[in-house]
Amino acid sequence: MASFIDALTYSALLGLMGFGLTLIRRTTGVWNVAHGEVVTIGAYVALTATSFLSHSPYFFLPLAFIVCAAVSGIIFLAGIEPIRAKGASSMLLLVVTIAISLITIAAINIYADYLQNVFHLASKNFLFARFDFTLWGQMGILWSAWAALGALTVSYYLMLQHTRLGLALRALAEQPALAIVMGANVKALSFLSWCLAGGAAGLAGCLFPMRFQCHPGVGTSMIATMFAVSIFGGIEKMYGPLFAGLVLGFAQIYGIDLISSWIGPGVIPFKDLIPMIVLLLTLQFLPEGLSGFVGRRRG
Amino acid sequence: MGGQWLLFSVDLLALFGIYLALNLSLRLQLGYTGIANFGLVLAFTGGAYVGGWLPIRLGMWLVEVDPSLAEDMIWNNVIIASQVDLSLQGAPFTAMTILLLTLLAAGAAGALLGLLSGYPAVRLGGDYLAISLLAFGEVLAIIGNNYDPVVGGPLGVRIPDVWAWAGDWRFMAASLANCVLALGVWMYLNSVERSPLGRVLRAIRDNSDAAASLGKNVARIRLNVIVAGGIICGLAGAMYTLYTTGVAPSALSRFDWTFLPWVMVIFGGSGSNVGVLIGTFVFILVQKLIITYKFALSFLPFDPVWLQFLLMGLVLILVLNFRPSGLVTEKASYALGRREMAKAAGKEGL
Amino acid sequence: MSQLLRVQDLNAGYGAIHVLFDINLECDQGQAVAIVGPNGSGKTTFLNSIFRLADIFSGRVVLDGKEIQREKAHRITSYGIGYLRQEGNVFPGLTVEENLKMGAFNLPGKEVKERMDEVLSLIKPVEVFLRRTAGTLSGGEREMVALAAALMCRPKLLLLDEPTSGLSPIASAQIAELVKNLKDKTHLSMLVIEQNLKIMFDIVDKCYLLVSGRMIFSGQPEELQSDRELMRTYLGLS
Ligand SMILES: Nc1ncnc2c1ncn2[C@@H]1O[C@H](COP(=O)(O)OP(=O)(O)O)[C@@H](O)[C@H]1O
Ligand SMILES: [Mg+2]
Repeated sequence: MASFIDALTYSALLGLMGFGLTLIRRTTGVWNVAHGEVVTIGAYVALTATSFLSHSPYFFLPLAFIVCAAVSGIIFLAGIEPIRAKGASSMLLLVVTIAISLITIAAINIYADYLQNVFHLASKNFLFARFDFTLWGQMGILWSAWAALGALTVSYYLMLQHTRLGLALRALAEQPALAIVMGANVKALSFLSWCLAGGAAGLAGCLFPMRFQCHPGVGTSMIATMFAVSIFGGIEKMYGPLFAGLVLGFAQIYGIDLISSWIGPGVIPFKDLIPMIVLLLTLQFLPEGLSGFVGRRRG
Repeated sequence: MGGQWLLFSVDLLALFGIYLALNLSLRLQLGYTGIANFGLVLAFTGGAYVGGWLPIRLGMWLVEVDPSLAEDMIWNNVIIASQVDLSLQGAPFTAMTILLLTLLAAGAAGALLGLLSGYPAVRLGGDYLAISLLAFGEVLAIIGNNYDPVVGGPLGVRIPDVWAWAGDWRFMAASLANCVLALGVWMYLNSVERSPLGRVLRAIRDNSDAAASLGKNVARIRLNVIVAGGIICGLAGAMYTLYTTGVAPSALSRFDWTFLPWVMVIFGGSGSNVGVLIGTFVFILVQKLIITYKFALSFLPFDPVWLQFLLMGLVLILVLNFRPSGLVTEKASYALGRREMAKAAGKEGL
Repeated sequence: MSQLLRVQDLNAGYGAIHVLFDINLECDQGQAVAIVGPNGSGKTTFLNSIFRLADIFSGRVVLDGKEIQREKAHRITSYGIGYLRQEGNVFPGLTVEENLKMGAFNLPGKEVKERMDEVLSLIKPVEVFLRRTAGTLSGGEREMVALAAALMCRPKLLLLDEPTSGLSPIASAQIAELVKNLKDKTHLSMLVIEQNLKIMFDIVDKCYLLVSGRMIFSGQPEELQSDRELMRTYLGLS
């Protein structure tokens, strides 16, 4: 049962992380390797605020959203946009995000060292499970992670379908040049998407330490899993990451339990291979992902 | 003081050789063929694991070691390695046999890993190929960290020193051997560049559709290049392990063995061997200096090693912004030399 | 008649590629101006450069007395220019209605409905497939949707890039009819690129010939038509 709940929680967090990757890819055509570090920053916002202001981390979700949205927005404006304006390929932009990832890794670690050396916080390894509340017999993190993912996905979907901004975002994803001709400001729309993606990552990062151990490399180590969520979900539809998060979360936590009960506990440490396998299988056999596949079937 | 400098230079040289080989492998894939291999660490780790697994077993087989130790190779690895070392001190031929067999196996492992990761990847477009290889790069780290029999899990293993026979010159010999490897790769790349194959590779890089329409099997050729690159990375990984006489999965990070080479190659210029050489040297030097003078920065409230990450990232961004082709740009290549061209033109009466 | 668009000594291209050399062009209020020329001569690049989709190296683009050559790409349409692109001129995954709404992106929200009715009364056939996904339309239908979408921004000047290329004779004639109708009913100025000279010659008031990035002729359509040398050399007609 515990692993079922863990899987459910983990799924929602993965969904939140993949949401941002998908959003950025859809609107800007970039695979953002630095997205993992944005998640980590969310966790450190939670750590800092909780340590200095002594409130529950839930209290700081909006703060984490804002900080990470700002970081992601700055990454876009300062790192991506200048090079993209020169007509760089999506490949080159991927390299740019790797460079940005190196810089943010350094910044995060420097900050964590600083917290540890100056304020004597356990900043290299932290968990907030003791702050959590219980609702209907389950940890609050389960409810809040799903609430965050659900609210984000639904509101983003409504925004896409029913507002002019959403229309412009969809148009931009289809025919960027035509959208520009009709007056869509690509830079502003992309900036907005990056901010929103960063915000979602910030929520995931802020919630992550409620259930799972966090350290300066936590987001970095999960980037391949995030890619698996985003690519497996497909970038066609924004519900992709939600479903892919479920599949991967369960495959990784619940699935490995199942396999180990057949084969033996020896396989448990290899649960991190599961996202890689899903990613590679997806790229091979379902390159447009789950939502693309469903979309194609429906015609 | 002098001794310290010598040590510094020798270690610099050793790392330089390893990284130059690795970076030239990336140059072959990215610069010649346009394959964005973000999984260099995979074949490198494969080679390193071979280096961690094979020499100690070869050593036990070739020299006198207490056979009861073999019952738990991992637990006893330090004892076995030091016993083998003692014998190897007077047996350069045995040591070199171990070296050659290890390199052979590491090259094969690199080729196999290149094939495994390349086969599904080569059909994918641009950045999907990069992500596929990036994901593959993680696989061996996960296995190595969790499956002790390979190289002892996260703690790693000690391995016999195949350079033990060189005595005081041990580090010098190992460093030079690394540079010989790099030189070999360099000459291989030069021969590729001059051959018709080099032009095919560039054609695939610049316009793979056009190359395909000329009857070139693009996916096949790209796979071959990834395999060749994998062999080079595998060799480099084994040489690195033999140089450090130890291997630990945690030291084989994506940062050190994929991203760092990328920074060096992009900085120097992926279109030029000389550029790659310069990029490699500059960054190895910077890295060594940061590590060596770390103590001078101990007043900082954080580990100075992060400055290296910061520097790499910034340099990469600046280069991509202001000089995307890198320090040294690619020379236009002609099918014929200038003189032959003039002669041909004369004959045709142009 | 007052002048609407004046292009002066325009040099433009893509990055390091120089495509257009010292282009001069004028278009008065209510006029329809045609640009003709062989494939690859830079006609599309010219329209793209007005919209900053191609780079302007030097020269001026003056619309209604305002210089717009330094404006950002997405701002151009708000000066009153609609652009029917040669390729990729609809959003295939959006419905026709959404395509039209997108065309009115820079109009105030409350005017969109009204403008859509106006445009639909000008281009009647579009009304029938308002709810369909643009990607499922035929070439001719798509071209009409694109034309309607380009009109949504209440343009003073309409740029049309080969609106009949790749269409069947019947569909071409239909589009030409719509364009003609537009010109008669509204006071819209037009810059038309057209390979199919016969279709457009009775609509246009002035004609430019663009060859290898240079304007080598400007004048009445009849003048061009009567210059057999030009027609044969550059337009393959005799
Ligand atoms: N995006 C682009 N980048 C670089 N060169 C281009 C681009 N688009 C067109 N060109 C070049 O500009 C020239 C003019 O093209 P274009 O304006 O499309 O011609 P036309 O519309 O008259 O057929 C051609 O030589 C073409 O190869
Ligand atoms: Mg054209």
